[in-house]
Amino acid sequence: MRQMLWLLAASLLLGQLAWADDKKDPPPKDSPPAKEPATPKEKYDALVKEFATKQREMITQLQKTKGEEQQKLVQKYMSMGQEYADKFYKLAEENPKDSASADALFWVLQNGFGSPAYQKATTKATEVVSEMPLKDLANRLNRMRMMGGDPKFFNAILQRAEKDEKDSQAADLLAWLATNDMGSQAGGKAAERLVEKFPDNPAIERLCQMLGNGSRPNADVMLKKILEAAKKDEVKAAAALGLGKALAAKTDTLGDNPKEADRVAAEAEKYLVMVTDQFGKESPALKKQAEQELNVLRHLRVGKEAPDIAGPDLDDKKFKLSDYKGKVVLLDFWGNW
Amino acid sequence: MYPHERSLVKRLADKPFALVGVNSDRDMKELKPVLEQEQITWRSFQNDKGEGGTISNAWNVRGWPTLYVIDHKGVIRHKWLGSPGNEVMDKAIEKLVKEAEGEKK
Repeated sequence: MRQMLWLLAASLLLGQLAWADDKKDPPPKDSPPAKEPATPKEKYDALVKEFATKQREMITQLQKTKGEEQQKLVQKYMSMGQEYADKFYKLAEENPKDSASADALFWVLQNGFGSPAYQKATTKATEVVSEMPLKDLANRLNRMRMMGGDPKFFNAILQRAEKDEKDSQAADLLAWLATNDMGSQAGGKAAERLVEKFPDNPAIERLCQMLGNGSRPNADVMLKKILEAAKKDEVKAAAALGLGKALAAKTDTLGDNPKEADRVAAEAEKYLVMVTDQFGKESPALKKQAEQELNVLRHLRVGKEAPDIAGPDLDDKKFKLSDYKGKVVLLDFWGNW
Repeated sequence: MYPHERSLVKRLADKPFALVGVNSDRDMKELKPVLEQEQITWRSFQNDKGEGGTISNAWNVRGWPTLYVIDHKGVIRHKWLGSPGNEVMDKAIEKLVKEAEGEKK
């Protein structure tokens, strides 16, 4: 049940984001509101607006319902993108030469996963990606977030970045791939190439953060490469923090192997100390994070003696965690909200 | 969570095992009937009244529920943000309970 609520909260948030996006792009002032949308761009804007309005209506409805009825609405809300995918795809198909066509295709890729139009849009979008001006593509991608999707699309972007790799804007494509496509191979390759060719690209700091939170296998290998290749202290700090965090997280899975846990912890500590003592001077936020991680690593990781707790119970009688020595304790941080 | 915890406490009643909570509810008046209704018999600290300050801060808790498994020697052996699933939890605990029993003999 609690998970359901989280899902709902997340989808409400997404809805609000879509709304905010809509506001950023007001319709051109010279078109009177009553006029039928005429150009492909106007038609695209009208569809985006219609979709956002529907989403907003549904959120209002959602807040009024409960239980099973609400769950059904959540599902409907989630599938709205599929419903609109056809409309956007049709718009793209009818105006292949217009730049709104690319907007519409990208919209389908972002929102229409699982719809019949999705595959067709992917095929078309891969052609568009190889042909459109590099700057145009980079700008579009920078406005777009995609967690997962068709590998064909990601591969097309990688190929484009490779083709134009002398152009500094290719770095934007690589950075986008590296931080959006966490699932398929293109994202991993893009990350490697970005680190190799553009070791101080600002996106690498964000990449380090994602890698440190464990969203890609072999994150530590890549973070080590970044740490070696980077020239700026800020990037080094981000890479070392990511490494420290990834390794510290690993210790928590080594409850049955205390020696290995100690070894991994020592390595994690080495990288975190690099952030606090060496590279973190210009990055106070990263330094603070590293300090917190070090505290956890030294006192609260798997393999360490648990700090004692003393205080009143729910009847205000004092007791201590160490009262239970000799017993296995499941310590549960809970609340009844 | 509650039904599984109840069954753990019942099943391991005669074993070297204890469930200890750190509760973050502010309103004890609202909580008391829940304790009775859900048969929450195990003891809990009040999170914001720990002697060294708020307990969840001292233990770097980033989300609820967070679970730590501590062995009979007082060493942290497992740490989960969110339940890892009943089966994983049971296995981990039972293994450590056996360790504890083995040492007594």
